[in-house]
Amino acid sequence: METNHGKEDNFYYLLDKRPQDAILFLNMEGRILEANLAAQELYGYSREQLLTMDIFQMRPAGTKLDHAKALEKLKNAWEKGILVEGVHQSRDGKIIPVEISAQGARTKDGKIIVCIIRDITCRKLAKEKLYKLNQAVEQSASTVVITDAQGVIEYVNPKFVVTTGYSDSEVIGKNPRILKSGANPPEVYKELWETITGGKEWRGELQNRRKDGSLYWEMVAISPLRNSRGQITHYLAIKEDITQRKQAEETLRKVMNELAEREKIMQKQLDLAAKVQRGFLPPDIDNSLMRLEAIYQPSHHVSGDFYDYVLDEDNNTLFGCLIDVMGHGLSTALQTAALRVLFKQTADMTGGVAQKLSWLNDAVVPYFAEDVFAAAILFEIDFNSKTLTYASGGINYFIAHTKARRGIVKVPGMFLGMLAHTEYEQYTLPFASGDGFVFLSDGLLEMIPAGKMALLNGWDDSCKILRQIVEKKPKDDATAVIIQIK
Amino acid sequence: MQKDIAVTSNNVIVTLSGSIYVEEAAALREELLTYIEKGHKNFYINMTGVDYIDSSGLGVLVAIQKRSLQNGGGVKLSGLKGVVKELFELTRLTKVFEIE
Repeated sequence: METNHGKEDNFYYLLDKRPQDAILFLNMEGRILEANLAAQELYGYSREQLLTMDIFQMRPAGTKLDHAKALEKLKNAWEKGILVEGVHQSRDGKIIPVEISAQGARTKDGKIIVCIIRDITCRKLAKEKLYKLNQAVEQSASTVVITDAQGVIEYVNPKFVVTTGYSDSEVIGKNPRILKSGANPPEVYKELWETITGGKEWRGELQNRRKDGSLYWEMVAISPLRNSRGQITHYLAIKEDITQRKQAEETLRKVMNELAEREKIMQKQLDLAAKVQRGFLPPDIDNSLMRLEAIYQPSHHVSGDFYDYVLDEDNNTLFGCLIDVMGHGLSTALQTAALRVLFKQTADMTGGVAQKLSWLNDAVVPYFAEDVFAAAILFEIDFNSKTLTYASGGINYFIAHTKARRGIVKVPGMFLGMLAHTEYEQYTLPFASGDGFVFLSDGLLEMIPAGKMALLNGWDDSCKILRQIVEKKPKDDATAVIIQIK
Repeated sequence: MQKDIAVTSNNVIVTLSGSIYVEEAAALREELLTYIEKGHKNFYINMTGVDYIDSSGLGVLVAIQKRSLQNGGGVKLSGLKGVVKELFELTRLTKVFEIE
């Protein structure tokens, strides 16, 4: 190895033996007597330049020097040896944190001081990083626990102390099982250990017990820490207190169960109401005069739609109605029940369908809220005179298949229950054997696709379309009374 | 449905457009009732832009008309056209409202 001093001395060998550290030999005034290559590299000066300088010139520019104190320090170094940390500056202005170890020595030249100067930039940075990490863990809002590979606690952060009530000295050296509440199934711990000893992270929720015996919930993430050889040396647990969330979940679960229970009861009542409502509907008719078939598909359990008819076999007449009360709920169902009773009363009255409709209207107006009303159509089929008489109370369409009318028939008339003292108009339509009529709710008529409206001109097609719509369980109540004259 | 409501010389001027179904009807009812609660009794409803109104929409208009009549005012409708006009005619609501 090439040497840069050329002096024979017991101490000068250091310059070659410790090439990684900068070495300066100083006299008692701080003057540089010798500098190794590492020193030249560290400070950026050549050996020749360094030999014209003193150690104090290595201080950052602008720092004040108390010369007497500096000389005192050198004296100290010579007598006892010192180890200090300081800051130097290289020729290009770079600030270098350094650790200086200085020892006195006696050479043939007299007293000298051997300074070994180590650049501790990396060490400083690492220390700073470690400090930051430590602060982050210490001040973390999460609980942090570090155990060794056997699960013995080595570290807990202050949040752990706050959460559990145990001081760090009470838990360090113990196993985390001191927190066990007994509420978590053993399989959970088995799975936890299998996961982390297998080198994987485990995440889960655990109910643990504080020192005072109270229970709390934690969201836990445990991961193994490995050394440079890949061996697991520690386990790191980061835990969040989720007691409040768990309590909220529990409350929510209870409320949901209660609601589900109530819903079940309500469902039962609705099922019963629907059964009762359906039970009120008259049966289909198939006799020598006609074939009457009804379609009835409530969108909800109970329907605002209903139909009814009274067959007078002595006089060969069928008096019927189809009524759609606004809404779908239980109150609507009750209104349909009231209307049904009133309809039955009109069957025994004298007069035409328009007159009966007017009476029905006046009877229901007091019972309907100001924006609740019903759409209705009343009809009477006289099989002797072969005439259909009808009056609209807001159901303004029906389907006819007679010689005179084929397809949709429009019928003017105001909604039932909307305004008191409404006058209704009645119309007649003659029919023959084989003809047919379909009275249907607005809801059902609106469900017929625009492209298929023309098909309503054919009897079989009309019936087919309506049945197809009802089979698809429509969103609105769908009701129709299909009457085919024999 | 779009709606625009303005008050000019104590008259409530309502301009409606689009289709009026049950949900829109309920919102319209609530809004118009606030004007009645404030003491307004004359409503002018322009329906030029309305292309469809279902029975619940008609119910709202009738309810406002009933309240306005009770307070000595009324609802005037304008701009009825197409299927909406036919609906008003078929349901005889043309007899209930003053229609321009």
